[in-house]
Amino acid sequence: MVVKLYGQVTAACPQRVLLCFLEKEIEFEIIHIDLDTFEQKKTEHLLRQPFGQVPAIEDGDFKLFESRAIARYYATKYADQGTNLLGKSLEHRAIVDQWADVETHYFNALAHPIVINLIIKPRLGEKCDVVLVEELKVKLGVVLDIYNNRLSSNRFLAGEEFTMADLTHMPAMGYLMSITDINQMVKARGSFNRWWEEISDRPSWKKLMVLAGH
Amino acid sequence: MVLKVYGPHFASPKRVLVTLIEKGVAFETIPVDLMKGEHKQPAYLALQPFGTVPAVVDGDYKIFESRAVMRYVAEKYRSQGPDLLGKTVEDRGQVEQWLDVEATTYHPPLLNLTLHIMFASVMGFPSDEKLIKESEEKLAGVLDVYEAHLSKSKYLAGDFVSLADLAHLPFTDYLVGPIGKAYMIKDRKHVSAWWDDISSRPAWKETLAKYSFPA
Repeated sequence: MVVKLYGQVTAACPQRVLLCFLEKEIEFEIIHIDLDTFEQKKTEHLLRQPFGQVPAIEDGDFKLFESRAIARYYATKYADQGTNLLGKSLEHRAIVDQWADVETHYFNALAHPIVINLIIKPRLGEKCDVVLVEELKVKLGVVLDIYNNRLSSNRFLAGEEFTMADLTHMPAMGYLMSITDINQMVKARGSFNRWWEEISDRPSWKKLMVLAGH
Repeated sequence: MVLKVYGPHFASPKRVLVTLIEKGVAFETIPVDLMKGEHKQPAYLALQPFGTVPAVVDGDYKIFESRAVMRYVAEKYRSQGPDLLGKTVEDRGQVEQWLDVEATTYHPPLLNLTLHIMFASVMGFPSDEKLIKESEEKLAGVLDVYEAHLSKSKYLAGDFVSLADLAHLPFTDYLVGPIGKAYMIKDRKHVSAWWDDISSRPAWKETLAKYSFPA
């Protein structure tokens, strides 16, 4: 029985889970939940994800939501298959967790409203909060400097290997790099740019982009 | 060499402290004077480059992000104290799910309430009434989901207390205390029972007794 992923393949959070499946060579089935018509807020989906968000997974009787929790679960369950995403020791795993949590609190906190205002709102015909976006870009610059510093002495965020910590940033990075100003901010930071070019060259990312219709 | 936790008087470090106490792990605390800007000084930034608390030092090993430290402690000391990660990989999946719900969905509106109601004047920014109202509404919606879930589950991840429950303690303590919105918890029968249960755990009482902000 193959795990079912409920979500939209172009949305960042389902993409996080898809990347994990691709890195771990796990077979999956995508069941489309249409965000443009707010299917995620309808009763049937709320039974899977009570906060009305995507993704959610069903694997036989086992159900889970929260993309990072899903990725951690599969990375643990299939530890011996595909890429090792969780580090080589307890101490290494905790540093993986540390940078994965940094993504939630510092990176996504800025990336998400930037993407909502500059990519999603125009698509829905809504007005972008220009003042907010400028403030967010300034804050993002400060955060990217910290990442740039980290990546100047570490090949990947948690050390010398690609892990969950890097993977979890990729969907939002994919969106951010399509925004000219942000693209330039990234390219202006040598180590951070080097890291993005290396991880976006991975076969899993390229496969994901094909799945997402790019 | 004993594990050190920086910034014990603040809320996020208390996620780490309560976990250490639950697991019976010895530790020391090192105060960080946020009012004097100690967290923005190079010495502290070397431990936590984003300039926030907590930071943890365990011998040569340094780690930050309170929930990452919780996971580290719960795994390293798995064989002592309550098993805060559950017994199976699937249990752990549920723990991670609700830990992430706390981080992505519960915490952000509660953080807004904390900053704008408790700390605006002392930190010198105007308290945003519109944001307070919106944040309370958002948090109420989240608590409604918790109410439905906790009517079927004793604790968040199942019938065992876990990191997911403990992660809620520090800022919810602010919510029912200095933020002045205890009704958000008390008016929801199952959330209220869950809160009474987890907040009366000896480890949490010890955390508050030893590390509450000096009056």
